[in-house]
Amino acid sequence: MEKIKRTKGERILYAIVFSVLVVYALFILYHFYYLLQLATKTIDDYGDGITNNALVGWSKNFSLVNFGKAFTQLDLGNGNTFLVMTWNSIWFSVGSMVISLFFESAVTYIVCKYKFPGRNFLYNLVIFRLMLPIVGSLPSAYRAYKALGLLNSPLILVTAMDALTGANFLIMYSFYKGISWEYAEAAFIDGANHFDVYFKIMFPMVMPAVSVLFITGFIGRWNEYMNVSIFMDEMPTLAYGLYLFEERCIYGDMGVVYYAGVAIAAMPCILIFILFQNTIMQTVHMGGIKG
Amino acid sequence: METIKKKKKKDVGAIVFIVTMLIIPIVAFLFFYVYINFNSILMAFQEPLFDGRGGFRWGFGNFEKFFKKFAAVGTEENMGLYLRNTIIYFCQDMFIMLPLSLIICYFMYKKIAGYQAFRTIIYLPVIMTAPIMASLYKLTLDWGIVRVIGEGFGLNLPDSFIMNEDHALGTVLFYMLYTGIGGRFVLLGGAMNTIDPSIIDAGKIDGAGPYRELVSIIIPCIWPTLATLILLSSTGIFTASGPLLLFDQGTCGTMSISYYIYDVVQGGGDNTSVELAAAVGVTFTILALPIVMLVKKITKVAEE
Repeated sequence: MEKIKRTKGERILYAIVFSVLVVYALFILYHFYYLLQLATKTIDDYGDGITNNALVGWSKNFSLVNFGKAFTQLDLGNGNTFLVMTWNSIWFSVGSMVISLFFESAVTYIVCKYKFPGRNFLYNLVIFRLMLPIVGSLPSAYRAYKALGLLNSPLILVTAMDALTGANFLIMYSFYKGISWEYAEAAFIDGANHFDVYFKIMFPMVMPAVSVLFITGFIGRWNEYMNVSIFMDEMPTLAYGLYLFEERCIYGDMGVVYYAGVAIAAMPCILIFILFQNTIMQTVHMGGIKG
Repeated sequence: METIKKKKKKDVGAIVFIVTMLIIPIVAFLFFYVYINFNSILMAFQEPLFDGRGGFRWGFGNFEKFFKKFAAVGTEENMGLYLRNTIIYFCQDMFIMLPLSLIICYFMYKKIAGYQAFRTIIYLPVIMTAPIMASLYKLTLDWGIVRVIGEGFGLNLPDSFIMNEDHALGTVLFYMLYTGIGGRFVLLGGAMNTIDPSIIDAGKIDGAGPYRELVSIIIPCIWPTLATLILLSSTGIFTASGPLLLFDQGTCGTMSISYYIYDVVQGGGDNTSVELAAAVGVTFTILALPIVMLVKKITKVAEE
């Protein structure tokens, strides 16, 4: 690898930027270090820290027992235990991403690769929708979902079928655009139909992009709490549940158990990101908006 | 590209494929987007009659109430304050966080020492559940290391940084800054990675320093992506907000327009303010549209 030669001025600039990034990174990392400190405290140490306005440092009686308690004692009532909320997070995140990516990919592929009446209209519709700054359709959405019986139900996943939207369209469009139609023509000669071409040839070719969109989308859905608090308030996911737990637990005896639960809840996203960070960072690129 | 005209036999197969794959998304779009937004407009003109039967009359009453809220200075229902805060959240995102993301991404792209570790760490708050990050952040300020160090230096810190009108907005803004910078790394980093290295080398030969390289080479090369990000950010001009639910719920001078609408719906969705919230949403959508179009025009002119 060619060594990067920098001038003296550049070296000073890089040293300053490096120092700023170190401080910034340490500030972020401190929160995770702090989380472990809190999750391994005893209730007494935690209470003393709150009382004395100095909730810092490791507990003298370091203990991992709070992690076990998180699974049994973090309970919002009405059957919404820590494990139930974890399950809600899983089906909500995986379900909505599978449904939305299935339809988004199909719509993007068709708009990108087929010439048919209305094709340009669909493309422009997606772009127009992306740019239309709609403020507050929440009241109307709430009423509509309520009328359809989507509130507090796995049926809420049907809203993910609305695939004529989003930056995912632009990202997948640039991927599909880069795939030659000659693959399809060769497959047609071999007797494949349009479904075969899409599902057996084209879709597998964009799998790297779809995988990354799935991972980033999964993380986004896993972390969703605002919409969940409105549309799924009686069957909360972990993200919303932790917010509710915080309100109930942070000042009481359950504070340390709450933070153990927080540490457990943080794990899936951290693990997924560590495993796939290079794929995420190097796969996705988005084209500009035309028209 | 498949054109549906040439061969009759293949056309049928293509039509069946297109119709089968598009029908569900189009129906979903018509209901979950067109109907919901159309109904939102209708709701804005519906004034509840409180007759016990859910009746309403048509009119501009909701808009009247909305504009009166601008005059409610000094009260909790001051729409002017909500608008001011929303613009502040938006400006921080557009004019501070986006440029900072771009600059940090540039140094990552130039492989500053430890860039892989920085990239991972700075992206961590983006992938973490907001209630977790916010909870730790609040604790760090109110009982944790910030308080311990601050008081160690003899500073007179408030009892709470969050439930305090003097500090709540600044606390939320700093939280957004520190957790949000990594949010655009994927798209900006991805765009920079597609730049032909020979272009950068040519700039170096011509004596371009970091500033010139960023402004005259990198930004023009990634402009389509950057322009899209600017445009998408601009659509949030009246929806920008901090994670207020996790902080003061807008009670200490942090309330934004979108959180106000959320707060109304979260209260049950059927209370008397829902139509008013719809009117607020419709008004700001109408106001935002020309602004977004102007931004689109500006980004297009800049590209040319």
